Amino acid sequence: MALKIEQGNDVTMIHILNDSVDAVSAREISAAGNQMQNTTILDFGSVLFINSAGISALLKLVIEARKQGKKLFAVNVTAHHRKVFEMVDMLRYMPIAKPDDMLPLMKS
Amino acid sequence: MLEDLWNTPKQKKGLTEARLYQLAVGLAVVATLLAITIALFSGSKSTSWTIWLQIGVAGLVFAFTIGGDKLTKQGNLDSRGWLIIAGIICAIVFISSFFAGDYLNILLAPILVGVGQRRGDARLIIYLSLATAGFILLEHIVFLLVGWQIPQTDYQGTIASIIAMSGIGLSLATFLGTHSKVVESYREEAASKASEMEVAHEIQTSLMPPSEIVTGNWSMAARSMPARDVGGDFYEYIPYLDKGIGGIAIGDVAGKGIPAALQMAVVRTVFRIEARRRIFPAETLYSVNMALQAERSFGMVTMLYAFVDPTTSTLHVANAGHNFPIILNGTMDEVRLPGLPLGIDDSVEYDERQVKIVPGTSVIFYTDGVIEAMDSNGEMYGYENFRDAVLRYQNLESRDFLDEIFKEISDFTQGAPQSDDITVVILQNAMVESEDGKSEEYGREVAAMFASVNAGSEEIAVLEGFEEESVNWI
Repeated sequence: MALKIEQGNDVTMIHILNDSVDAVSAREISAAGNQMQNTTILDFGSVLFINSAGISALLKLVIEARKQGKKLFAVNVTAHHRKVFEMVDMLRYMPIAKPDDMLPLMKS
Repeated sequence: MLEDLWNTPKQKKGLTEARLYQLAVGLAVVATLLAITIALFSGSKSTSWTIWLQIGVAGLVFAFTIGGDKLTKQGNLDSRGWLIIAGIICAIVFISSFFAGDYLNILLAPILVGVGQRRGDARLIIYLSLATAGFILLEHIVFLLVGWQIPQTDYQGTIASIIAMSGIGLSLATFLGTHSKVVESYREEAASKASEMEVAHEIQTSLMPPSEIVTGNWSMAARSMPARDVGGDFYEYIPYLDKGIGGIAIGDVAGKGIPAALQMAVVRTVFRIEARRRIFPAETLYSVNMALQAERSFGMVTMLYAFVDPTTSTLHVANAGHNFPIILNGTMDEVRLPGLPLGIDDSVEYDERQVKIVPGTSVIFYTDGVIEAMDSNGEMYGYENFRDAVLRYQNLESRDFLDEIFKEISDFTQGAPQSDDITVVILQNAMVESEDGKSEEYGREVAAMFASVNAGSEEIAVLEGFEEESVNWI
């Protein structure tokens, strides 16, 4: 799986470049956890499919990040995955934001 | 020896490789016998001692090829011993070729095949064969250069051809004999696994609660279709006093196949224990989650638990990350109640929502396998198609409703391999009145149960008739 990580001023943007997130790729995202700054944006723009193992790993990641006081946002989430994120309560820990709202954070 | 030839490999009737094996061995034996016959009846003038040398060497190679295998299987000859004898025979073949002709080296083929098979490396057979071919060519050139004269007979060419054919035939037979055994062992292993999976499927199916329950005005129909023989989806029905629908749960363990099925068995058992100790779904899911947190390496489980209170036609719902249930009553609504799946975090508490289920209402519980069912082009069935389907069939009785939904999904996927387990449970509160009065009686008992808990008379309500001792752990 390819991740593209951009660092801004106290903001990290993680672009998930694969079209699917499973247990393996979710672990790679978790491994990027040490590069997360106080505000981290996960870009799901290329993701078409997330299986249950991927959801599980993502949930553990965002819950752990929130316990460490980090703020997470998701951008470019498909309608289907928005629904899935809502069901599993992911949005409580990682709200979905509009990309346009997040860009100024990266530029600042 | 001949009996061993025809019986090896055993029990291969109908197997192509076995038939080829028998054909090739037969060819080798017949050819050798033919060579001996020609030699014996060709007359003293044309018979040379080289004919007997060829027959003798061929017989030695054939005997070792067949007998060496048998001795190895019996444990009387180890690999090292086999290789030493093979080396000696190769030397005999090589030396004999100086007197009988370089074509005799074809008898090295069965031995080379045996070496490759013992090493379990088909490529080794090819490399050794190429090396041998090169060696024979080199030997031939040397013979020409040094003017080596081999005693000739009238039948030298014929005998040489026959022995060469025999060598090739036996080589082929040796290879096919071993190959057929490998194929057969794979087939037996596959058949054994298929049989085990069939048993596992039957066990899992037998553990599922009834697929259809009718109690007074309330009815429930359920169907679970695993993507493989066994799956991680489940539904559970918690009866109340054996008289009616109490709780309905639906769950989905992350993953598929045996691992998911094993985890599912654990979740169901824990759930059954907890659901019979508590009434309210939120408390039950909390307890199940805490129990699962104690299990090491337990994966994620989404689960929704709904408890029916027929006295007030109310559904008490708690959700641990499962698909939102759909409420159908002319219109369609979802019980949008998010919650963390089980097995993710131990600090989670679940919300509970009460939903009025007036007569004429259907409630659809389903797993994500419904939504994520795919056709052969990878297109997902999706929420829209599912919503259209449930609206279309909402006036059917629960069993027919279920049949139509599964038919819709099947029509959509067009036989594409099922990517995930699919489970749907339909709960209906019919508009007809019960004739036997059981519904009213059940309603009174449930009302009393809820009243006692709401009044705080018990910290933990134990449902009558479901004491913990009566629960069997699996």
